[in-house]
Amino acid sequence: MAFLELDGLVKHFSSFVAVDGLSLSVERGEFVSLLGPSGCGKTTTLHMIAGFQEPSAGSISVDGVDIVDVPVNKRDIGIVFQNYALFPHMTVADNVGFGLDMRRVPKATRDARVRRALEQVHLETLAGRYPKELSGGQQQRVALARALVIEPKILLLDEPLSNLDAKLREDMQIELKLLQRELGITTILVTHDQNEAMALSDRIAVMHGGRIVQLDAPYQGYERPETPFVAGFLGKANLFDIAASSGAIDWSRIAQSGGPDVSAALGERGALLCVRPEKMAFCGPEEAYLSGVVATRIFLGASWLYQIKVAQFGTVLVAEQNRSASDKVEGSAVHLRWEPGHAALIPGDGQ
Amino acid sequence: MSLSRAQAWPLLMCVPAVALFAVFFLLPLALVMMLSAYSFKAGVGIVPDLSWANYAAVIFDGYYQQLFFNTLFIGVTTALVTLLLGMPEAYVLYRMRSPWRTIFLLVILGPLLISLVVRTLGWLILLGNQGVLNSALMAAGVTEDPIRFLYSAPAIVIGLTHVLLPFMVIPIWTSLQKQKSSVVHAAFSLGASRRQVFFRIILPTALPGILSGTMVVFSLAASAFATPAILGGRRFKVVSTAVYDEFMSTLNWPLGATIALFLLIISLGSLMLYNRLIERRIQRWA
Amino acid sequence: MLRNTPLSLAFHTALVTFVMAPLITVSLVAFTAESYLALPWSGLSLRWFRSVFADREFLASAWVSIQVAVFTATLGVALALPAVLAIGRYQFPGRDAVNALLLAPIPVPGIVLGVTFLRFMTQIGWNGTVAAMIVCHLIVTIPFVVRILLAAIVGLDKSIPQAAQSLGASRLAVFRRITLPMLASGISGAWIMAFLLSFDELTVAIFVASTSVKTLPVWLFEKISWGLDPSACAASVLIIAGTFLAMLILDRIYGLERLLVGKSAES
Repeated sequence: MAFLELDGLVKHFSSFVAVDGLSLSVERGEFVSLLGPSGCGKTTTLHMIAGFQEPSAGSISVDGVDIVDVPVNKRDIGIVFQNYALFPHMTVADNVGFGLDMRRVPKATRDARVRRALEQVHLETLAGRYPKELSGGQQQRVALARALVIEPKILLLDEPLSNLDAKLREDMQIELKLLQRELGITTILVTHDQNEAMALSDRIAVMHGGRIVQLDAPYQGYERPETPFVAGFLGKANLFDIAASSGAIDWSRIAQSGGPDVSAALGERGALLCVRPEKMAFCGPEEAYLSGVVATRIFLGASWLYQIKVAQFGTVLVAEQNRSASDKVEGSAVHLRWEPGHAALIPGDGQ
Repeated sequence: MSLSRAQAWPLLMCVPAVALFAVFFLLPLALVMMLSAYSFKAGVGIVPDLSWANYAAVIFDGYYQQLFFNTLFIGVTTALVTLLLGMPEAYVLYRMRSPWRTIFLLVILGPLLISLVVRTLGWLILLGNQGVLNSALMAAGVTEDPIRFLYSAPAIVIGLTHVLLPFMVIPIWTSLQKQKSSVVHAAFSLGASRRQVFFRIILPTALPGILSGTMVVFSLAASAFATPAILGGRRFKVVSTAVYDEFMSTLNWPLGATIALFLLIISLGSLMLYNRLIERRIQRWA
Repeated sequence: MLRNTPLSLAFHTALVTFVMAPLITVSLVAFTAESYLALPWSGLSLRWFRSVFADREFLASAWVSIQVAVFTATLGVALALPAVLAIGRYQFPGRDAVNALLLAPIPVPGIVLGVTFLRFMTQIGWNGTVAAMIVCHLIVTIPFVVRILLAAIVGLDKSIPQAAQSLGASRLAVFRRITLPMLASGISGAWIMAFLLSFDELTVAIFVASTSVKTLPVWLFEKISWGLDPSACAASVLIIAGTFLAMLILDRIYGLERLLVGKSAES
């Protein structure tokens, strides 16, 4: 049995179903993200693990013990909130020490542990400040130290980095990942930011409509999305409806070069082919799977991003690494292909 | 429906306050409503016979009609005067810069916390026949004989305007405050003149405050007691002072209760009317 | 970009004069040497202050007022706080009704509340007692206490007590160590506001007062009605000074602007 086990978790608020039969096993020391748009049930799931909300059905167990009936303050779960939820009337040291006070840790031990926790997040010099006197990034670290100092069984992170600016967010991602690995603490991250989820997690659970629609390591999830929703939420994707594509895509050429056999997929309920923009490549007309006209061209620094008008599909996105100036002006005709192994076939089960 | 523990706990926390209000607010109100249907016989006192006599008297007797007319007049006039003074003042405050704004906001609003009787006493002294205002006017040769300000509608309106001005300035000022200064800048950048900015941007944004301020001032002026009692004296009666007389001198409590209930209906009715007619519309953007 | 014109500043000056005039007048007359209401042109004197301090009825009513205001403010906060915590924090059946009930006295004219209390207190035989006076003041002031406390509680971030709970704090510990300290300014603001409202209350008190239990505003009202002399002004100066002191404290603790602008913005 896994360390954290969510089994058939359901939560409804009167008639609205927020979480709809969610099951998830998380191993000890693992970092799992719940990723999804707002309203997908990820925060409700987190609140049920924390104990702020009672599940309507299902069970939550930690280390083999069911904790659904354990009150919040006895669960030993550390949480970092999106807005940090620091106690405004306490200093940094008292914020961090609060959980130890509640556990009646002797003063000397408490102070030592607070100091160590603050060192871990590089805030040892700010122990006497009040939260208001700290920057957003510093407040975030205090929140993290406060959650970690009680040595919780599980660390819950509720969009912890979303209030930081982009540069700081990247630094904190790396720092958070290193700290989590060093402490070996089982961590659940709730986020709507795919980059954050991919950067931090061992596995990502993409959620939609109160369920997990795909659970995979970041690379697998990105390369092999199982549903159009996952394909679209984890990065950008070109989705080609195979049934509607006769004539526009040269399937025989794909098959010859070892691509997925679409004839089988076509026979059933139809299927989509997912190709990431950075996997698309310009080529000569003789090798092309698709042809179109450049509609817009945007320079992003590291890459060029093209929107290509292709008959029957509308717009296809192509990202090309910036190796040289682009010669593909808007309006020019272009031809596209991709490595057959780079395309993922998504069964079209009506979604 | 059975209550879970999570629901019983908050209910329990409300019990003391709710019990107090049930016993000492709802119950007495109900008893006064009953009282209004009783009658009063000189030498006997209150007779618990249910009748509409008091209601009929209040509605059809010319004396009471005059009282309600006086009250309405005081309410409407005070609301208008307060608006005419409060709107410009709120706008002046809105345009002030930071230290002055806080200082004068407190100067205008602070009296709200200072005893009403004390302030009314001030007006009594100012407006009296030998009062400060008359002495000044006579000394200046404006008039030979003192002008009688006191114990009249104007005296009451002056006193009430003084008391209720904050209730007009605060909502208007709050409405104006809500507007980002970039909105005004945007209007200027689009070519509006100062006049146009005032009439097309400032005034409409202040409208929710103007309307709620006017309503509140009307309602408070129409039901005020201390100011009309002191500055209206025995000459100019309004509903609330008449209620006081019935209870404290005539001792016809049932009739007093009836008049009080009419006042309550007017007061609540005008607030409800306001909510229905106006607030809903404005709520869409304010 | 928007500046005040000389005309608007002239208007402003006139209005400030209008606002200050009665207070200044009362304060000046209090120092008159004459035996009637007059500005102290002919010389300053403290005789009316001496006179008011020798007035037993004044001293008795001031004492009643202070007692009533302290009890009203303390009991009002004690009764309102749990209810407001429930309303502000939880969803439960009857929540809206409780909220509406506790705010209901606001639009009721004071004179109506006054006669209501007079009738009821006479019926239960409480009229003219300090207890009755306190109970009536509670009904008048609790709505404002509820409003201030509710604003303070709604402004509290819900995740802060949650964070405390997750760190092992019990319900009681959360209240004592998190909620109460964070509400401290709101609670003291509400207390002082209730004190001032009670101290200034006339319309209701006049019906519940008796010759022995009389609050300061009632004493002053009767003085004005039956035997006005400069001692009323001297008493007024004392009241103004006391109120200023309270306002100063209130401003330090809670912020006067926040309180005043909050107070009638939605009334």
